[in-house]
Amino acid sequence: MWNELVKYPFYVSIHPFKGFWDVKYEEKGKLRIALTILLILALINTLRRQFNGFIVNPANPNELNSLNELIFIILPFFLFCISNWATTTLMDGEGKFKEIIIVTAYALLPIVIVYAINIPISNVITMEEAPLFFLLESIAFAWFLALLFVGIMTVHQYSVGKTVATFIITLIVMGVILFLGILFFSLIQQIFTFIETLYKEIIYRL
Amino acid sequence: MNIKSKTIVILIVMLLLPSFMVPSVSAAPYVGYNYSYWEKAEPSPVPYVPELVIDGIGEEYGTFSSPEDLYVRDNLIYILDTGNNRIVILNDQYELVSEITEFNNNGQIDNFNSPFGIFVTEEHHIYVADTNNRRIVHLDGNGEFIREIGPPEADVIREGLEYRPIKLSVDRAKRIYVIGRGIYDGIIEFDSDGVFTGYTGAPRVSFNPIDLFWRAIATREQRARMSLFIPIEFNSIDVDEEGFLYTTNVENSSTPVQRLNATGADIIRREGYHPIIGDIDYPFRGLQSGRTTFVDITANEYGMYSVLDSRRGRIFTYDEDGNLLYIFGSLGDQVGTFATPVAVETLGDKILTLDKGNHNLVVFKPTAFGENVNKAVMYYNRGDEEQSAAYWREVLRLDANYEVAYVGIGKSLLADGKNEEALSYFENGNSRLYYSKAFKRHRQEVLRENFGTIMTTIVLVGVAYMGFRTVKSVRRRRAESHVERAS
Repeated sequence: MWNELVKYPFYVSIHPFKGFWDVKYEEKGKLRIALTILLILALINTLRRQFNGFIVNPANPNELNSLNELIFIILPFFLFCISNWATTTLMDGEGKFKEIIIVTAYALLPIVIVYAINIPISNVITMEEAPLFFLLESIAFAWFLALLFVGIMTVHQYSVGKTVATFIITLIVMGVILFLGILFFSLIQQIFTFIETLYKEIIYRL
Repeated sequence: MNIKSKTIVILIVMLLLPSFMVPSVSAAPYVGYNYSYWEKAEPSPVPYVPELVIDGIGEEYGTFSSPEDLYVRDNLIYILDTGNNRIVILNDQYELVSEITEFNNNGQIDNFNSPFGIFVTEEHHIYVADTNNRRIVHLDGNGEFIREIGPPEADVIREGLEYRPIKLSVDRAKRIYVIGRGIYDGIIEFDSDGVFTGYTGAPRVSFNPIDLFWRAIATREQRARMSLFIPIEFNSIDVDEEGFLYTTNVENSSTPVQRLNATGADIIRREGYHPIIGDIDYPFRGLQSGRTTFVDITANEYGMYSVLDSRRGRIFTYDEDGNLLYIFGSLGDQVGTFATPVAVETLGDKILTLDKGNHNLVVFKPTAFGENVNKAVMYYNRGDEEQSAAYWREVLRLDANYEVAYVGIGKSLLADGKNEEALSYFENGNSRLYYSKAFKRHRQEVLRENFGTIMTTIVLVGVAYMGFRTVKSVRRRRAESHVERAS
């Protein structure tokens, strides 16, 4: 049980091809674990903003807000998953929505680990040693991208070229969804304002 | 007297009392603010308040008429009264010392014609940029004519150049630096004999990539109609104690304030939290919108310099590192506000501002806050960090948001070896560079003090691990031998 649930994401991080294959065909990936990783990332990022060493922490303490992590981590995560699912469904992708979520979340694991390690490290470094800190973060991010690439390629059974194309289209779709979302909200807002003014006007006249 | 009338008397006394206790100068006609590290304008104590307005009404020298420039040398105030074509010299009590309206130019009586710039050397020789006469006039301390310097003559001068000197400065070697109206080749430099030697500080052409892109795709006709990329044009100049030139320019450049060395390179220090551009946050629309427009600069002997903004009538004072120390002044109709400020100078710890629109000179004196900042910067400039820190502590008592003060105190603590204490000051002052320096020392200290404990822990952990491994392998071997025996 322990091996299955907790050790497996680490195994995937190091053996992405075999790991993601088993996620798809052996049902080794678990949605629970995927969402837990996402939640931990949001938590770690909050901690990072609060507790990273002063030298490498550009966050304004007056404007820290944990809800921002929801906006900057959870929202893009699901935006990516939905866009990718929408794109690949039309492009003969074999991955299910659940598999996309699992793959994306499992790929985030290196970032979670490095962010967690970096919090204590950042508190004992000086400015001359700061490049080491940023190097670790960059490596984590590159690792995440590589895992994501392999994962998406595996679950959809794509070639390399087609995966690259899907990624580009996914990004465009993300932009379109954001645009429509903002448009929707601003229209709703205007309707509410209209109703509010109407109500006020009636109240004054009565 | 019964209780009722007693109460009334006490109330009346209490109401009257404040009117006797009001200080001679009431609240400043502007609000104090400064920019935080996070680029927000935060309220701050007012550093300078208007003390006196000198407009010449009822004085023997009469009223001013559109005065354009001002210079202070050894407690003497030289006011260039442009509209009246004269120089008025006042002492530090603002009493008339003398007035220069005409001078004897080789047997002929000569006058100024709309002079725009004045400079006074250490020997009290007066140099005037006599704008409409297209010359520099050199007078001695008594107003006696010495020489005049005409337009520069050399091959590098453009054809049809209209030479109108507006501002000037003279350095210790008596080289004369002149700013001409509409001259963007740089600062005109004359040697001590008045011979043109070239342009200095010739600014590089500034353009942005977007302009370049549009030019690249424009047709020849369109390009001809576009404005030329011309270098920035200077609009004022001052020379500091060390002989470096401080200049300002009004163009939309990212460096409106420059400090030029002898080769014309900009060597101003930009170590402050923000670029030296005056207001960081300003309205884009409406009255008084747009970025700060510097029109004059004055440097004092402690490396501080004050720059005058004509757009919103503010005076920005920076220290030698480029930290914005304080901001005061405003456009308006009250006493102590400006219509068209044109020149700024320092007289001791006072700041004088010449207002062309109101035809007057406004004298500002420092408040307790301003004085403490000035003293702290002065002592720091002299190398006395401890005294400086004492004044910074006073500043913090008046304004706990003053980040420069935290860094100042932190530096002094760092010099004393109080590294750990310095850390919190650098953090409050948002100085990551100095925080890192202090932290490096502090870390070394902690490691040295706890060297024994750390080494013991490492050795103990190592031994414990080895022991654990041995016990484990012994157990396994025993178990295996049991299995063997059983089979």
